[in-house]
Amino acid sequence: MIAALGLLVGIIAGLLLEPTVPLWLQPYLPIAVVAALDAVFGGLRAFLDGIFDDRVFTVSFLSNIVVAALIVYLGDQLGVGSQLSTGVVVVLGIRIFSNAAAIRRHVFKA
Amino acid sequence: MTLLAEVMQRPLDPGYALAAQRREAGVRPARTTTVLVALAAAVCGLVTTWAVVELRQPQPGGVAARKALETEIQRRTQQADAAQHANDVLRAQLAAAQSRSLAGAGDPDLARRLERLAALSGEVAVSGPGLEVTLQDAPSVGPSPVAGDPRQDGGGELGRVLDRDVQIVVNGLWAAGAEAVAVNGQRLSSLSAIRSAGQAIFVDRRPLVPPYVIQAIGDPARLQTGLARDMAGPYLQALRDNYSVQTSIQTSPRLVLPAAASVILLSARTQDQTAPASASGSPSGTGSVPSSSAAPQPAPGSPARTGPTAGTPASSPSEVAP
Repeated sequence: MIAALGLLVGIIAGLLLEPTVPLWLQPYLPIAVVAALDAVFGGLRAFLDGIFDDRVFTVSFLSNIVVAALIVYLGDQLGVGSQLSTGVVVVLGIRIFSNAAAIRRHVFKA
Repeated sequence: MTLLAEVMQRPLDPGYALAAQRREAGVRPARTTTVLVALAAAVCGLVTTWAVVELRQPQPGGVAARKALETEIQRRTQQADAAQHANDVLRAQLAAAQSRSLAGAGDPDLARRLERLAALSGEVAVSGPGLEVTLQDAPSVGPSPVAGDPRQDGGGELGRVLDRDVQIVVNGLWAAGAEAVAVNGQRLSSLSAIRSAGQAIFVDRRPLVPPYVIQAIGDPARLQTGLARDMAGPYLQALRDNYSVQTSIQTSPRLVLPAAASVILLSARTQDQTAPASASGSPSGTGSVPSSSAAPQPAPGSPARTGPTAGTPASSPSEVAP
């Protein structure tokens, strides 16, 4: 639960503070957000399964964001940035969908 | 394929299952781990929120440039309005001084003439009965020309009122005996231009916003019959029938037309100056005319040099020589 609280604090702080994201970070933002969504849905499903763990959630969240940004960076360097981004979005999107389906089964029993 | 199967069938991070097993085994996480986890989670939330907020802002560069342009336009418009206002005040002072000096000179005829000329030239605001012609773009024409991008629209829409249409109506009104004409509250003088730039119509370089209201002061009945008999009446009818431009003509018992924005004094002469005075007027323009006409008449030689054109340059001796 401490991780969820920390996340909440971070979100509120992010809303209150004026964000000034440096320009060189801009290309990684969309993919990082998708990765973060994936981690959040995974955490929610784990919570409903009764096996939520703060440490695993936080580590998966951080690593998701970093790996996604890294893949985009690598793709940019190799000249396949947009294709790799598409691949990452597809894989994360599938995971988000199946996690959302599992959450739905938990909530609606259907 | 194993990758896709992995993604499809086991989307939950296996770490959660492992952690659950550890908890069942009775392993409790250390206190420092808990603090670290909370901090890391806060950082995650912060970063994600910043990313989302940043992404939701539409193109900061373009927005900033647009803002800057808007404020610049507003500032310049205010400056222009202030200058116009100052101009009006000065012109009123000028008119007052003029009428004072005329009253002092005791020439009522001159004062009347001046008044009439000022009204005709657009120098003063006038009011009186008149005719009001309204032109409006056809309903099929999209947004106003100010909003659209002239380069993209191509200007091919037939139902749009053009500068030509306004020109023809205005000329028709002048021909029908209008004493003063204004378009959308902008008084026309004899030097006014009605032009279009892009798809906006400009009068004296000020843009107009549709509908275009052309007001003319004069005898309403005469204006109306004159307009109908002239080229402008059939032209308006054709606009209505062929391009569904909305037009309306109505008489008005009292119209008030403002003074023209800029009246420039191009030439002036004192009142008692008549034909002979022009000879002594400007030295450069008229100086050569007497010299060439005077040269053949006197005998060649010395008399030419003592004539009235002694100050003229070397052109006159060369004509005298043969």
